[in-house]
Order: sequence, then C-alpha cells, then structure tokens
Amino acid sequence: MPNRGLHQLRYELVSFVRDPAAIFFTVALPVVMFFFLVTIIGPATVDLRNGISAATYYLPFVLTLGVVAATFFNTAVQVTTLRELGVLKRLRSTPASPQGMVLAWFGTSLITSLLIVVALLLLARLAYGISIGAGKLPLVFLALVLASASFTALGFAITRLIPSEAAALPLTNAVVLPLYLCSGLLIPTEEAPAWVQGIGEVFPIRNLAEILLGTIASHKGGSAWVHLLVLLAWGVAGLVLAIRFFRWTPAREQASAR
Amino acid sequence: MTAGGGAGEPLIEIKGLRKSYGSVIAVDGLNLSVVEGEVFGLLGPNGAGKTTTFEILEGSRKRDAGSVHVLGIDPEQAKAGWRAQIGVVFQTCGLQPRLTVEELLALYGGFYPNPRSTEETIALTGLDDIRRRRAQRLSGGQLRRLDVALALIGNPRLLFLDEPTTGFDPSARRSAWEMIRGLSATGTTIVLSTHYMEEAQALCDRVGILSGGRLLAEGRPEELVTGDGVLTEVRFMLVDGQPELASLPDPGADTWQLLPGGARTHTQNPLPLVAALHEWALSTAVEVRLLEVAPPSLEETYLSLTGEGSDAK
Repeated sequence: MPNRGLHQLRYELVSFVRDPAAIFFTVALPVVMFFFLVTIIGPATVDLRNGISAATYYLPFVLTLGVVAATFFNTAVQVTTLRELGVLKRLRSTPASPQGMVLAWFGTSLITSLLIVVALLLLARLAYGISIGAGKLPLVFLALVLASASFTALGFAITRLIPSEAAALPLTNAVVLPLYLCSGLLIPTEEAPAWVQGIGEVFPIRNLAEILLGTIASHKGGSAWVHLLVLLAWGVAGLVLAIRFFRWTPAREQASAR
Repeated sequence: MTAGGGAGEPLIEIKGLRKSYGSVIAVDGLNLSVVEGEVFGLLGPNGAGKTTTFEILEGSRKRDAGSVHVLGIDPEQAKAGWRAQIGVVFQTCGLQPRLTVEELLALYGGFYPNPRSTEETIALTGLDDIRRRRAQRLSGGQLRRLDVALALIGNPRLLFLDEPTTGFDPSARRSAWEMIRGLSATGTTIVLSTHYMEEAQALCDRVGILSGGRLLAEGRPEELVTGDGVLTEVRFMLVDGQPELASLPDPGADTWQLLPGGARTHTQNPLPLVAALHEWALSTAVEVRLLEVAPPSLEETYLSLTGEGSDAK
C-alpha cells in the first residue's frame, strides 16, 4: 500500500509542477501576500500582541493561509476535477487501492506545504530578520504533518458537496473565506465579537495559526497540544465522512443513477 | 452454443438482471453468458441498456435484482485481485491531462501485479509516435487508443470495450479491428458494445441484440441474419429504359419496386428469382447492366428486431 501511494504520489507531483496556475495560487500567492501585507502596514508594531512587528504578526497567518491552500483547497478542487473528468472512475476499475490514492494526496499536500513554509520562512529571515528557534522546528514540522493530513481528509470529504468542476473553486472559496476572516488571518480578531472568535476557535484554521503564532511570536495562546488535538479531531471527522460519502463517478452519471 | 470454440467455461453469467433509474427501466430481466475466449458483442440503440449492463459487469454500478457472476465472482463483492484480471474501456472517461502517454501507462501499469510491458502495449495500440505527448494534447481518436492501451496494460483475462471505435475514421477502425482480433487470438475474452453492425459482423463470435433492456436475439452473426423472415435483396439496372413491373417474375415475399432505370425487390429464395429474371431479360430482349444480390446484413436483422427504421424494407 505505501508503495502504491508513493507510485501515485510521483505522478501527482509531476502533474502539479506542470500546472502553472496551481503553482501560482499555492506557492507564489502566499509569498506575494506576505510581502504586500508587511509593506502596507510598514514598520508599525502590532499592539495586540505585546508590540511585535507587523511581519512577525502576519507571518504565521500567511503561513496558515498557504498551508490551507496547498492542502484543503488544492485537494478539494483537484479531486473534484479528477472525479468530473472520469479519472477516479477509471482508477476505481483498476486494482489501485483507495488508501494509496489518499496517501498520494496527503504526500502532495505535505510536500507543497513544506515548499510554502520554507519559501515564507526564508523570505521572513532574509527580508525581515525573523527567525524561528531551532528548538521549535520539530513542533512546526509536527503541526504541518498533522495539518496536511487533516486538511487533505477534509478536502476529500467536501468533494461530495461539490456538484461540478465549475463549482469547485467558488464553493471551496465560500467555505474558506469566512473562516479566514473569523480565524483572524486577514484582519486581527482579538477585539472582534465573541462569536466571531468562537467560530475561529472551533474550526481548524485558527488552531493551526495559533500553533505557528506560538512558535514565531512566542505568543502564549493556550497549549500547542490542545490545538494539535483540535486539528486531529477535524482530520478524523474528515476521514470518516470521506470514507462514508466519497463518490468516484462524475456528477452527470450520478444523476442518471438516482 | 459456445461459438468461441474450445473448452469454453462461462466467464460471465447473468440471470434475471434488472436495473432501473427511478421510473426508467434500463435493464429488464437480462439473461446472458459469455464463455472463455470468445468475442461477444452487445448491440442496441442508445438507451438500450448496454452501458448499464457493462457497468454492472465491471463492478462500477449496483444492480436491483438478478444474479451476476464475472470470473466466478459477484462484481459487487469484487476485490483488487478480481479487478487485476479485468480491463475496461469506458464510453467516456478522462485522464490526468498533464501526464504523457508513457507516464500514464507507467502509472496505471503500476497498479497491476502482472502488467503487460509499456513497450508491448504501445506497439499493440499504435501509440509510438505520440508516446511523449500529454493527454490534454491528444485528439479524440488518439485518446480512445490510449483508453484501450490503459485497459490492456494490466494484461487482462477479460476485456470490456464500450463502443471502442466510436469517433474513429475508417482506417483507424480497421486497425482497431486488427488489434481486437490479435488480442482475441491470444486468448483474451472480449465483450464489446457497438453501434456499427459491420463491426459486430467482422469481430464477434456471438452477438446479443439489446433493446429496452431486453435481449431480443442472441447468436452467431450468420445465424441471426439467416433466421426466418430475413430477406435477400435483388436489384438490377437496365442499359436503357425502364422495366415494366407487371412483366417481371414474382419474387414471392415482396413486390418489385421501380428505381430510376431499374427495379429491386426482396426474396426468401434468391437463386430461382435470378434464374427467372434471366429468362425475363432474354424474352423481353432488354439488356441488364447491373445485377446485385445483396445478402441480408446484420444491420437489417437489427433494424427489424429493434423496430428502428421500419421503412428500411
């Protein structure tokens, strides 16, 4: 099984590197965003977090944004596309195992996440002098692995709700954008109404951001283990839903099968 | 019975198969068996239930009733080991657009325990000159060949081809036929569906004619076309003038029909009619430029059975 997963992973990655739009949206966009956010806010410090610089404040959030795009977003959109093309139906007719396919997607998510994180951390280090202590790298890595797995599972789960290839992008955005806002990724939510913060705390995006914030800005926002547990719980829920409801055939063929 | 010849054991057994989509009945009590080594063709108009039957046999669709065994196993219970022995060409099925022909063959070949080599598969399906081209840049016919190649890469014992040559030009169709004959010669059992009667006649050991989810006829193509009520067409043209219909010999089952410069009819017994026609030409001193005796085709059998084109006669 792991071998089959590696075999598929190789070709998923080949497909990914040949897709300029996917590379731009997943890898380049967070880097560009980070640059502009920090440039616009300038050298001002962010009072909300004990006077840390804008770059330090935004780095974990842009990292989170990039990871969510590379994992949840990418999986949901690409798997829906493959389903609608009929690729999943074809795979289903071969002895290829579903586990192998999920492992391949998890691998793709993890590798692209790592790429984004490395690119952003390098930029932060070279341009803004922000660095993470070497002692905190294992936690960052653990969070990345867990987040990639959870968000990939959730990406698989949500494909069931996406009726067509054309709906994949808008629908995934409709899920993710409100959560970005409630999770404080774009605008700080420290002074937002409690319900907004509550939504952020329940969903996995804010939890990943908190772990990264804790490692980068030495912010004491609750134990990292609690956030990791929340990520894990979402991942398990996503996996259970995906196993229960996943569909292999294009929607147009499902309609005739009703 | 087992036109496939040899010691054929049934690879496919269908009894009382039913499937409906809401109020639409797609397959309505189908009984069918396919033996090892034969090429079986499923013919029928659009909506006859061919694709539904294929999908149930391939294990990608659940049935409502009846029993189905493919390679001795109910396809709904099938595991990877069963799938490894089956090759499927779906009617429409996409591919990872950014992978090349070679890469796709390597990817899919990797799923099977005992794959055919990429080289052999490329040679079999004539993909050599486009092996490094991405799927997104292939033409319809090239994609169809790649579909077939991907169905063959696992070295299947049983191959399903759902309209394998739809969209092919005549020469591509001929080479596809050669390939299918070649595969059949190596012992692969093949089940195909087609709209083209000449294709069924050229390739299949046995055919089943499906309409409205029921099997209307089943047998060797030559058995079906020589069945009762199937008539041979006789047609002639004169060098000059029009024949006088009343003076022509009686064809029996049909009457003569006037054509520009000639006439045609249908008969159960062509030889006496041709002899009588010869007498007629001598006695009326007309010169016959063209005489055509067309054997009944599978197409006519098909059309008369499915009730399509009732004006064909």
